[in-house]
Amino acid sequence: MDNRFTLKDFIFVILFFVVIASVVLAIYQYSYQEDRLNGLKVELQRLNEAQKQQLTVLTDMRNMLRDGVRTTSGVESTTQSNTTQASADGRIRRKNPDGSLYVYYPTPPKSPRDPRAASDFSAGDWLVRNLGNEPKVIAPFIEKDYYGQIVHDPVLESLIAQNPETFEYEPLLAESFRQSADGLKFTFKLRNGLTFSDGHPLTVDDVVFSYNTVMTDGVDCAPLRGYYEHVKACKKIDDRTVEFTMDEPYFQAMDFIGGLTIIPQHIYKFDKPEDFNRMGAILIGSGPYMIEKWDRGQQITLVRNEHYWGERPTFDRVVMKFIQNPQTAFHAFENEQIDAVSPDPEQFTKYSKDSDFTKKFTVRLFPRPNAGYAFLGYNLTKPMFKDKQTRQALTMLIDRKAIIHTFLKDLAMEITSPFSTLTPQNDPSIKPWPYDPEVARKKLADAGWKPGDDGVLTRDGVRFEFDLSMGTGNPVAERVANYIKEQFEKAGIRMRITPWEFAVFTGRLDERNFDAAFLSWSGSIEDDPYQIWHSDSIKDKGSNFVGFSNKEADKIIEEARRTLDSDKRMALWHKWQAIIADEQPYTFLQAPKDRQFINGRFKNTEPYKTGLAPYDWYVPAAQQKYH
Amino acid sequence: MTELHNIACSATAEVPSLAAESRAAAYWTVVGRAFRRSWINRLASGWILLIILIAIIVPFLANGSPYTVVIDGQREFPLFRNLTRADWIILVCGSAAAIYAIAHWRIGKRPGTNEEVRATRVKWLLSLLLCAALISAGIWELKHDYLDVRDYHALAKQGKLQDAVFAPLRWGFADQEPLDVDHTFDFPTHDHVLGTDGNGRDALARLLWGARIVLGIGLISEVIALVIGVMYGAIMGYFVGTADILGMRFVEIVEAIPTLFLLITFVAIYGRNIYMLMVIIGLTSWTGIARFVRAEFLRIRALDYVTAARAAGLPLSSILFRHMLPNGLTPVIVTFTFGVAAAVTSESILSFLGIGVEPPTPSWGSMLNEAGNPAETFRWWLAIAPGFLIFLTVFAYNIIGEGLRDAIDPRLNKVQ
Repeated sequence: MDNRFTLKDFIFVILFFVVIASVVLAIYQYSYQEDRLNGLKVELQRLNEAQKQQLTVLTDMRNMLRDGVRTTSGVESTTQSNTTQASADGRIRRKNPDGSLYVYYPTPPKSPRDPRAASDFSAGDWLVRNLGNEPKVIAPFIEKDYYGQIVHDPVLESLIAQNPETFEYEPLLAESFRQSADGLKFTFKLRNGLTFSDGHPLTVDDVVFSYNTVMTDGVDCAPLRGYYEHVKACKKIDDRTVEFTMDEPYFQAMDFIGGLTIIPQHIYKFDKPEDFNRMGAILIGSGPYMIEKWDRGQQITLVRNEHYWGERPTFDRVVMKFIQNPQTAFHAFENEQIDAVSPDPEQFTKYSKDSDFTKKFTVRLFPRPNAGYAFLGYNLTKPMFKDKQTRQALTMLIDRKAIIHTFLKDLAMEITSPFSTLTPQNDPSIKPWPYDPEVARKKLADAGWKPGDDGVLTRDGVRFEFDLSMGTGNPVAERVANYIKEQFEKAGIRMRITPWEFAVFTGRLDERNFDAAFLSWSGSIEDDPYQIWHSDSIKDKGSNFVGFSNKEADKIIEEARRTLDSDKRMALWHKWQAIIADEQPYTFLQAPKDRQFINGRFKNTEPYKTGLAPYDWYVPAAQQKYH
Repeated sequence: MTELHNIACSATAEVPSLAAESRAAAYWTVVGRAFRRSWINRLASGWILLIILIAIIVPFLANGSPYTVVIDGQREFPLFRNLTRADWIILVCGSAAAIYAIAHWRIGKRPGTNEEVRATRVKWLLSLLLCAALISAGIWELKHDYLDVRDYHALAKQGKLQDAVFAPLRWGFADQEPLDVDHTFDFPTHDHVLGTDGNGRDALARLLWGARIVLGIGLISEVIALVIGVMYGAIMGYFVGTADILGMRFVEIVEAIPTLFLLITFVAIYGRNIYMLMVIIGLTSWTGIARFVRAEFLRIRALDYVTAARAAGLPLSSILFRHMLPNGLTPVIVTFTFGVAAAVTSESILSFLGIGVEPPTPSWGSMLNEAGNPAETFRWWLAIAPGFLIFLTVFAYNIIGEGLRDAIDPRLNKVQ
């Protein structure tokens, strides 16, 4: 074989050099393009900033104008029925004699304590919160947990909002709403100039789309869809008006129709419901903040929505961290890595007395009507719990005041029924059952329970022995259960504590496979007892797992749900509450008070009646930490 | 080759086995002597014996009910009346074990051949076992746990008790201080030498009662593991070939199961049940023992006396467990003690994760959990005692295991 340099080799070499040269040229071209692009970007940024400055100036001017109007308008007068209120800033709230309602707010509602009214108010700084757990899904409607909802809160908006102090409905995205006399028709008129955070206008079509999404079978939001069961149609009337119709009046209809979060059609449009279910990580709305990034396992960062249609939001960024361990979260709070933390009872009592701590951090303890309550539920189908004498005796064996004092460090309130003692739904004349073991023992004897040879109470061959099912992982709850066991044993009742993993526990409740259950319900401002207490909710794994069935109580619930007049409804609730307090299907233990430590640089942190409103907080310019 | 020796009569076949047995007896004496020679081994066994003793008699040490008392002019014996079935059965079994231990020692002092001594001991053991089993079954069937509604602490304060004789520690594991004054998480005081837990219960009383769980979980789960492991290993080692290959693959499968996660899943689905935990730990930890037994049997099966036994036409069970097992058991005993230590640790971990024993049953792990729950403040004074006891017990088991291994090892075992 000879190694001559042939023509073929020559061509190869040439080709080789050509390839290299073209690669080099391509690189040059790319870098040139990139330089141009960067130049453009810088230009754009400059333009953007200029626009932002103008926007800020504009917003400030608008605020000034509005505040000016407010000062001349004076204090808003309180609402009375059958009258029209038109305050000087143009707000109208008209309750007609026939029961229909018309509300018109020319400008969006302000917080009860508007931070912008403060003299040292300044926009800027970040708010770093701890979410506790990473939400699995943050898309609206299909979110699976409470954490997803917290992320939604500043990003999504609905047609109306509830005033956190007066609990009144105020138009938010809508400029006015109208409720017909029979409570079956709801009409909303949208504001002018609404936009989503991507600048796209928010229209009636988006409202109709949001409703249709919720109502599409196959979209993964069955529990939510249940609430809209009686909403029959959502109709576009004109470019700014939309109308919902129902087939049955319901006192909370306004709450969920007006509370429907509005999502952009152009983003979430889907052909098949599964397509929507797959968009779990997409969250775009019209709210004051928008998602900047989601660092998996770390945090979600929200950034101010510069296109927000309303007043300019306070914070530059809102960071939501996923620190699960409460101790770690507390240390992060102490080191000022997060700005607010919800301490456990013990930490709260310890640190709220520490003057060095309170100098640096704000301590907040507040009851909240929607905080829920803890209870002991008795399976009424079991022979030992079937009579109310026995159940009353069980309640009287438990010193609920002492539980609140010793185990919960006084950070909870006594309750008498599912209704929060902070709302007019609760009848204050109904008192909790007293703690009196002597009377309780007498009641048990009256109910036919006699101690057997081995000391355990027996009635008609039934021994008073049962299992108390509860969730695992809550040391305070376990202590309370231990205490209750001890109290019951002193009366001759044998109770076994069986902690279950929470999903298994709820599964057993669904199968009615329990004797007594120790858990809590979360609450709402005006509670609708239908879900938990109506005899219809016993079947199909409903929430009435104790099997409470009382014809009179059922009738009152049904009637109250149809009653739109709030005074009449409250009277009905009080009647119902008296029945529940007497029957004691649950031993109502306590309603927790919320606790929060907040970094001291935040102002305007006083809680409203519904709880804290972190987006009303602000940091005076001098104390701002992040820029 | 077995065919060739078919003519051997049974008497000749027993000669090697007899010799092996008497050698085995002497061998254990030697091992025992070697084991006892080291002071740390004596200390560790003493510690375990002490814990066993406490576990058996704890109702008489820490109890809220008095031994005897006069109430309303009547003499009563509340402590004895309140003993549960479990307490009685543990007492019966404990006394049976104690009686056997004494008998074992006394028989050894008596003159007689090895075989006679052995026979007497077996007689004693069997009769005691039978007695204990019968009495336990009787207690289980006839006795009901008594639920005492009296609060003796309150009654004592009101002065309604006369001539009361209390246990040295006047608190049971579930007795709580009354709630009206906050006695939760008290620092050690005169009343509560180690402080109180989150329910106002005496920490020392719970510590003593906790000894039962620690011992029970270690011994019961390892006995289950021992039975399965020895049988399985013996069969694998004796049959070799396909049985061995398949058997070893199954061992590997079982070894791949992460026990702790299995336990956590089980507890999540079926609830807390300490007996099931013992069974699961037992069912997943026999593989080590099986491996050792298999290895020993692979070695022993080639020895002449096994061939002889086979030639004599002895049944399989006799060859496996009467002739081969006593000679292959030595490494198993070492693994056993280490296994007990591991089981104690597992229980502590589970209880520490809050999924161990059912409340209010105390265990050292759950006490640690309560002291150092990540959701709450760390309380060092409640953590020290249970933490230290867990450490000491696991340490003692490991020392015993190591001591036995050294005593058994022929290279280290220079007799006298």
